[in-house]
Amino acid sequence: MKIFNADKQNDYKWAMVIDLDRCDGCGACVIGCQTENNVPTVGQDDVATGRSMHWIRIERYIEGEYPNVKVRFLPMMCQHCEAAPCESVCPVYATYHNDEGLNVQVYNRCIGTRFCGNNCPYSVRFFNWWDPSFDEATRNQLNPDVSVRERGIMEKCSFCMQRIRRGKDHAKDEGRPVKDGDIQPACAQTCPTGAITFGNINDHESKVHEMVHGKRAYRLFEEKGTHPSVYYLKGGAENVF
Amino acid sequence: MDRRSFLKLGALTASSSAVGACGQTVQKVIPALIPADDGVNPVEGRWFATSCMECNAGCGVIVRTVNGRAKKIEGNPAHPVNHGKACAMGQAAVRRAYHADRLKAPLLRKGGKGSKLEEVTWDEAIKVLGEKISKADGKVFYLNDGVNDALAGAAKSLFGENPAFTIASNHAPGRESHFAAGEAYLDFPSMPFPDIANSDFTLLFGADVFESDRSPVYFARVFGDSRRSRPSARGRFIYLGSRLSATAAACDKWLPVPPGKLGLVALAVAHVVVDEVIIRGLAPSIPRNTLSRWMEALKQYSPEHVEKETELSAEIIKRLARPFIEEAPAVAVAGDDVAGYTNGTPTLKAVSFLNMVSFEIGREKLRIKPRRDPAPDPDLKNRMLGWVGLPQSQQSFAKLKKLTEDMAAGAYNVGLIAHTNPVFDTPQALNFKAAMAKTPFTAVFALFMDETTADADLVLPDHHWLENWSAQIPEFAPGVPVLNLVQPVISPFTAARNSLDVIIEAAKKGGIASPYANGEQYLKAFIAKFRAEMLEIPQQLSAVGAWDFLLQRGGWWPSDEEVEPKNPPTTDRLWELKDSLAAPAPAFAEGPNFPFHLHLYQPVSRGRGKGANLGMLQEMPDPITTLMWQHWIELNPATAEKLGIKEGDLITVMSAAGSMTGPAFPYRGIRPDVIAIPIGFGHTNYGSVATNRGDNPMKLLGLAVDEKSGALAWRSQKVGVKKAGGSVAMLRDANPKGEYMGEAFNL
Amino acid sequence: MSSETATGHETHSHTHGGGHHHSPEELKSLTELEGLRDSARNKAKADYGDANIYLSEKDFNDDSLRPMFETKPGYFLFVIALASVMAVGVAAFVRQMVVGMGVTGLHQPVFWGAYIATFVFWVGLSHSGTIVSSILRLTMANWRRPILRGAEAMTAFSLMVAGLFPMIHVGRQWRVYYMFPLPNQRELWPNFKSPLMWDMMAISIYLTGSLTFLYIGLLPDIATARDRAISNGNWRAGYLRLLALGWRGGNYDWAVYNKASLFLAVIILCIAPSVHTIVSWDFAMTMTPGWHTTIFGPYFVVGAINSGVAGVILLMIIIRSIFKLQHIIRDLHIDCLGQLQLVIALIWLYFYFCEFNVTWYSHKPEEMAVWDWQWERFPLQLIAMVGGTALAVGLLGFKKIRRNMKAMVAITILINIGMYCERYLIVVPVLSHRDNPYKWTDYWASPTELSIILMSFCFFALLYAVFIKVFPIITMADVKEGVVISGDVRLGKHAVRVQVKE
Repeated sequence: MKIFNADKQNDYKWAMVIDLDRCDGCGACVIGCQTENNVPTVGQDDVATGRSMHWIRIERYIEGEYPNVKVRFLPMMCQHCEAAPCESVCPVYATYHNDEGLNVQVYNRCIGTRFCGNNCPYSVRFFNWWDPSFDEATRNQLNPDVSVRERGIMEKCSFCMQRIRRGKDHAKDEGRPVKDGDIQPACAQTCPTGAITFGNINDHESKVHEMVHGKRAYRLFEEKGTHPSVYYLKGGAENVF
Repeated sequence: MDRRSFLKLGALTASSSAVGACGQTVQKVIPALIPADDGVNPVEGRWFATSCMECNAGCGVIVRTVNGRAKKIEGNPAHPVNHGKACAMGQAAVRRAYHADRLKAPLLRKGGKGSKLEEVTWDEAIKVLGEKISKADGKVFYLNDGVNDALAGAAKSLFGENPAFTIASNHAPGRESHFAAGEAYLDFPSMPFPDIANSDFTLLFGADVFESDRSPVYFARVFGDSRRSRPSARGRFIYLGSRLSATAAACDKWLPVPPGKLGLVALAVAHVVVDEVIIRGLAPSIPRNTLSRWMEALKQYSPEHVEKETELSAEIIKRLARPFIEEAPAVAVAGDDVAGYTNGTPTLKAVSFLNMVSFEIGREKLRIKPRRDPAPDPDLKNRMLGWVGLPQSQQSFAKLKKLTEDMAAGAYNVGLIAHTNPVFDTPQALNFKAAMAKTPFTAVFALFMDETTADADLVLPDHHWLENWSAQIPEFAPGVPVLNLVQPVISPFTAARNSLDVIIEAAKKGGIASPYANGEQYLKAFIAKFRAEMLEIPQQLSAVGAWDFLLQRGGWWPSDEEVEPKNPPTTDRLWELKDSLAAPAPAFAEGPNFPFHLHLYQPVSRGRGKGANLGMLQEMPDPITTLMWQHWIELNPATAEKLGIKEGDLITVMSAAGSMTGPAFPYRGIRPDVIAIPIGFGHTNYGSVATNRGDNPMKLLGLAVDEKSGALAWRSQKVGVKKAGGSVAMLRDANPKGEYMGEAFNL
Repeated sequence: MSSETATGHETHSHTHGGGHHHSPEELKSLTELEGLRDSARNKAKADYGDANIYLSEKDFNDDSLRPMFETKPGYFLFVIALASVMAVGVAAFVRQMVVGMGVTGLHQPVFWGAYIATFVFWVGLSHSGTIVSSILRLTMANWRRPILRGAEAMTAFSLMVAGLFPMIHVGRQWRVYYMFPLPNQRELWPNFKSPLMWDMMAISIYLTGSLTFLYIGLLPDIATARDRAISNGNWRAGYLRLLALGWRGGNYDWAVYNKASLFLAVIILCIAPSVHTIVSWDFAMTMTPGWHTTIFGPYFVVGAINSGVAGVILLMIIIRSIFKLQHIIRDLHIDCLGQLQLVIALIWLYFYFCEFNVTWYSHKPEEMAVWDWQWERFPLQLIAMVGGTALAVGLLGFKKIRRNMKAMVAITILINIGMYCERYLIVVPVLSHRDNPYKWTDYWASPTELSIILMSFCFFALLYAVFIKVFPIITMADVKEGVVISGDVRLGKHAVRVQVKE
């Protein structure tokens, strides 16, 4: 698979590989992400209007009729596109690409035009329609690494930027480069089936580099030319029995 | 400056700034001006190893704390059950600890039955409990959710001397059938431990292994390993059962089979396999005459014989059998859709038989390493279980049923109920609520007010496991004995007290002498006993050193290398099994107006209703229906159409035992004669998040049991369905049309 | 003959058509034509029923300024009613700002909804005024004269109203200045690559241009009103004196005035299409199926003019019937506007045809998803959208209909309902059924959105109502110019009305 901007020599270019053959739809990543990133629960009324805020969600598709039914799971999160459609339309640079291949969202800069959300084909950007409601008790759990977003701004999967930074800090303290597997976003760390792999695609020894060049690798909506940093490994097989 | 040069300069400035603005300059300075990690402030947390007690699986976890607050739960990478992974419910546990609804002080019915629960001091609560114990005349029962933890062990050691004492568990249905089947094969009541990770082909007989509380994380891990961790082959998974569950969705193929008929399929597959073994001369380790005896027993289960009853063509059954012969390692796993019927145990045995034959074939082909199944020292595991509570062989629905009947007859003076909600999650036909009312004094250890707690005479707020000292033997350990230690990770969030301390102190007040002054001493003594047996713990360590060693690891388990079983199963034993090869017809709780099979199931990561008070779990879309904050009743679209039911229409499901109402959810992945309802909904008193959300399907269940094991046959109920009038909006995550468009959109 | 003979300020001694610097030959021929003129007048009266064209200048001034100087109690009731409806909208907006955007019906992925649809509608409506006015000025269309002011004011006010919506729509109004290119030491500029930035600039330029255009056009009339206010001792004299910039109606005044209006007309004519093209790029520049199409630029411009011309017609009919100005804004003007509307509507239908045909023929799944959803969810709106304009095309061909004011009111309202539906159908169904089918949704505007949209209509009406009371609504100078520079020329047996060009 050709990697966009591969010639751009940065030490790090983060990428994620999701093996659809492994995903069992259990939702551990959803809760892992939510507890790690202070993502609010929006409540029944907002869920009814389609405002759930799972930075990563398990999309479920059904194919076929009874009895030949097939149900598929597709974990979906910000694809950290190299040519991200959301970035160019933001009038205030609240979302842009950093030199490590991350599509970053700067909460303090965002004014909430929601244009980025309109230009995201994956529908993975989330807007804070209200101030987040964490009750007194729940606030004890909030992760101090990550800010709690106020009303009126967009948010989305950050590839657990706080973990990336901590991983790099640790490596720097120990005077070494970041090793493959040092940094894991919450979803990848928790995924019980090991469907999610995260790593530095510029490191040619890394696991993601190897997986991305496998036969099953593809990206969502590749024809749109967004060059996502999230790669999927095609699931299923012919003649299963 | 004249006008002309002013205009020129102006134009130049404007155009150059426009070009500059569109160019790369701004983009280069932006990351410095608006830093990407604005608001990101990585804090160094402190990590503690402990063990998750949200369900019975017994995962080891590590917890990140910052300033004394727990922030994030991750799996313990060294733990043999979960290998560093965690499920949704486990990760949401921090929110359970920091929950606004946590009980804040002991509550006592000062005026006896019928009066209100009032707040009392801990001293008074323990004094009252002590008095009741002293007057109980030994007629005490202890009931928990089947967790083998230190509290159960303490209760048993404190009260167990008196023959009037009873210890029982209210666990997920069907477990004892697995034990019964396991006992037949392994000489030891254990969950079967099929080596899915290393097999090429896995046949799931109604085994919702990613959903039930057997150990979803363990099964998820081995599933992933089988699928894609081995360079040699991609593990294939076929699911047989009456509903396309989340587990079935992860499999390659779902084959609908009528309820209760999976034993026939297992034996038909076994028939084909044994036949081939004889013809091809495979598995020389099995004596030929043994094989011919098996064949004799299997004769009536040929694919052609069972074709009609199982609705699977003989051709398909033969294709299912082929991998067992040709591509072993192949394994079969049985689950709720087997254990939940009256013929559960024989069917489980049939599946285990298939595994045994497959194992022998695979061993012969040197394609698999011998597994650690059974455990190197099954006796040790049994003894360990004895130390910390109820031996698994004694955990059964039959025992709970007997306890309830005895309670209703007034056989107990004091009841101790810990962390379980039988008023809510046992079949309502059991009428545990009435039985509790007949018990003069029940004390409940609980975190939250729930249906059982509300009926108690004394409520003792317990620590969440993140605040607690405890120890646990996981119910489902992968073939090895595992000891999980639980240590306080955070300071208690409420004025609760450790139940271990409370029970020891109250027993002492009640005149029951205990060698331990408190919970900590109990645990230390337990560890000391444990060390004496477990030579793998470094023996040079002092008692304190060993304690620290265990706490740092989060518990103890044998080193991770593969162990050759001391006594690999002999074929003689297999020979003896010929009696087990039968697939009796299931019995159903029928009725004239009950054309449908009721298929209750445990939804992913919500337990049997325990997780219902967490907004986070309520909002996590169900993997199959993608519904949030809502209860639902699944039925086949064809059935729905016949009954004139559309998605969201309120329908009433009726059985001989009772009825319940909820919104219909037509779903293609379910047999037309089956109505599926998730359990854990319909709380009536469990905090604002859970209360009155849905209806409790336990109302529908009768008390049919598996004859062999006494397990609740919770899938054997038959029901009728009618429209209740009205409809509600379905809170879906997936668009009802878009969910069929995945292929069209290349998703 | 130059137009400088038209007096800007009030000169009671003059009658219509009187010119100053005529040569003896001209005077002679004028005298000869006097009789013919009378007969032409009678004929005009018989033919069109509007011999009022021969109003005296005083009467003309009186009638044109009456809406400004005479106020009935009903006016105050009207203003109070508008203000109270607006108050509800303002309260809804404040609540939205304090509580959060959650009070709207918006959700993922319908991040833009009724607000943006209404924004596009208002920007569209603004297009007729100035563009029509400048086209007509440049082409010297004679019938344009009385309606220019009303149309230009409509542009300015609908743009002001439109400009509110992006502010209402953003999540953090208190940070909206991040979008402004404020010079700062850190060289932190907004993202000029974002269509929203283009949009903001285009609209602010257009608003500035339109206001200037409106004001320049107003100058002679302000002077006229000023003179009257001074002589009547009216309170308006204060600001009118200031705003008239000392207009005396001298040659130099007129020369500058003419040059400025011509210059501005050209500039506005260039800006206006670019504005709506840029608004269309808010959509077309994205990669959203149903938005990402090259047709959007001209499509939006034509749609805007379609909606705008209908808006002008409607407003003119309302104004002339409320203020009894049928003899100044005559049936002829409505007729001519109706013809313009017919042309635009035809072009607009052609765009519909192109858009629908291309989408349907290629049958791309993601675009058909939007297509199917539109037909399933918004059939009435679709019918209104195409039907409004199609009906206009069918009916405006008939002169009887063009001169039937009730019919014209109905047609123009239908066109604009259709155009509003069109804006809504561009924004909402596309977003609710976009690329990712898992997240398809439906969208309903909430009461907050509805009350704010209602507020915008009231705000527009209020601005217009106030404008009528503080400035002359009829382009008096232009009308007078038209009278001055036209005359009857004898060709054989017939006297023909001719226009003298500058």
